[in-house]
Formats: sequence, C-alpha cells, structure tokens
Amino acid sequence: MHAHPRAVAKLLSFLLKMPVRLNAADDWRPSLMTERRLLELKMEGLLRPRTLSSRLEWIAPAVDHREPRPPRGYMVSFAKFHRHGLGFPPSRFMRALCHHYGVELQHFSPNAITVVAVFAAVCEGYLRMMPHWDLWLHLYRGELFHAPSGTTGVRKPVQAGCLNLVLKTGKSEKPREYIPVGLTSNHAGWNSQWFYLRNNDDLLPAYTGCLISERPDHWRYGVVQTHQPRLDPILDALRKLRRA
Amino acid sequence: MTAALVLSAVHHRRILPLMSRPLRMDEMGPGVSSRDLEACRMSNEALTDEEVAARVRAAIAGDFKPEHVNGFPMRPDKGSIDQVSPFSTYGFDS
Repeated sequence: MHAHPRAVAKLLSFLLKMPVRLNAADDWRPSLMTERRLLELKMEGLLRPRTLSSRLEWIAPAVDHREPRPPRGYMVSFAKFHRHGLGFPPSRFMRALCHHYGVELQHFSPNAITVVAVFAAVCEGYLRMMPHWDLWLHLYRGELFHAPSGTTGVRKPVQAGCLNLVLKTGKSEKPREYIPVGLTSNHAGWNSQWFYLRNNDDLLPAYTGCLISERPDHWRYGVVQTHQPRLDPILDALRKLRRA
Repeated sequence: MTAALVLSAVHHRRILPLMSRPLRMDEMGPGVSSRDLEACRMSNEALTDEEVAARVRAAIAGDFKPEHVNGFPMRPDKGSIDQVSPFSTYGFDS
C-alpha cells in the first residue's frame, strides 16, 4: 500500500520544521592504519620518509588506542588527507586556515582538504600567485557537519571531519566566478584511517581532541569591504581561466 | 577548466599542494635548481595516467578518464595558457 502524496508531503513538512537536536558526539572508530599501510602511503609519494630526523615522521596507532592518544609533538592525520593534497611541512596557507577557523587538523573533512588543495593549485599554477587570502574568503565559507544519529531531528557532533568548506552562493552567484568543483560524496571508511603525524615545529595546532558543536560566526566571514576592489583583477583572470 | 583537471595536473607533477615548497607551482620550470625542484616533488617517478585518473576520481565526482590527465597544464608546462599576468605580490609565501 502506498502513502498518499499529500500525507507524505505533510509529514515531510512537519519533519523539516522540527528543531534539530544534538546528541552525544560520534565516537572515534579504531584505526586500521598499520606501519605497513603507512609505508605504502610513503611509497605512493604521499608521506615523507619516516626517519628524516631523530624523531619519526609518522607512527601507526598502538593496537590499544581505540581513540587517538598522539605522543607529544604529534597530531592526528588521515590517509585520505594525504591522497587529497595535504603534505608536510604544511604550507603557510594551510596554517592560516587552521588559525582562521580555529581548528585542529582532524577537524577538516576530506572534501575540505580537496577544495583547499585545488584552490592552492589554481592560485599557484594558473593565476601565478601564492594562495590569496582575500580571494579565499570571497569564495568560501566554513560549515559545520553533524552526523545523523538514527533518530529524526537529532544529529551528533563529530570528532573528525566537522569542518566543511563550501562555495558561497547567493545573490552574487559567486560560484560562477570560480571553476566547477564537484566533490565526491564517497568517503567510506576514511575516519578509520587515522595515524599520528609529527607536527614539525608545532606549525599546526596541537591535538587536543576538542569537539566543535556549534559553528562559530567567523566561519562565514567574507572579505573586508575595503579589500574587495583589490579582487577585481584576480576575479577577471579567473573568468578567463574558466572560459579557457 | 575544472577542479578535476587542476587535480590531475597536480598529481601529474607529483606535488602536494598543501605542503611547504621552495618554489611556487608556476616556478617549477627550466632555470631553477634541481635541488629546489626535487624538494617540491614527492617523487621523480611519473605516475601512469590511469593512476592519476584514479586519484582524481577519489576526490572529485564524475568519471574522470586517463586521457584527460593534464588536459589543462599548469604553468610553465608546455600547453599551459598565458592569459594571466602574475599576481606575485598577493597572498602567502609557502
């Protein structure tokens, strides 16, 4: 027996109006990363050699580490991040993003790493400049991801991957100013591929495991108005690239 | 120009965009020291087009094909477009 379309629409309307409640945080998944798998990442050219200095560059979590307990001077990274363009030591742009959004490395989602990597490549390889901060703020905003809890209207903060970086939309139709970025939605199992990565000279924030349950206002900040005109020649160049 | 093409150019060149490098991507050409070039790349060994395409598909939606790898080369590679003046004074040093 099929439900009447009007009844379905009414139910949907009711569900959409329900306030979203937050439940307990989504737990960490045990890591599947082993020394061997990390070595494979290195062989793929995605990690640096393990022993560049007296301290190991990367370490597989111990078997009894059900959630991250990185040694002092190490943080938590994911295999996917490195497949999507993260490298160490981190660029100043990557460091600026952590500082601006007030996040630790594990807070980035895999797609956030991809959009940042693509943006850096567009700036350097095509616009011939270092990643441009005002252009970044003009095009992108931060959004907080909460995982479904299994109960309608209830979502859970996540320990890893809570920061999504999305193209700004609205009246100005900013996506038309940038290149098409259609991201994959298939990241199955990414959050069980974490490991410890040396935080060279503390260039990125130390791991504290803090949980972000509300989106800070500044994640949506744009460019300072007085800086906006400076973007015009760059946006013009982007338009040319888009048409090329 | 699409994100998929940009990522394919990145993997084709064996670089990680979010790693600190001595050279900007558009500076990785003739006339620079081989030491700096090596410090930019994660490997001197080229990936196959199939492998590059697989890496792109892992990040970008759609069926990116090996024949499209490096279809929009970065500067200063052969075939890169030169419509854009450098904006060297903006942004971050790596």
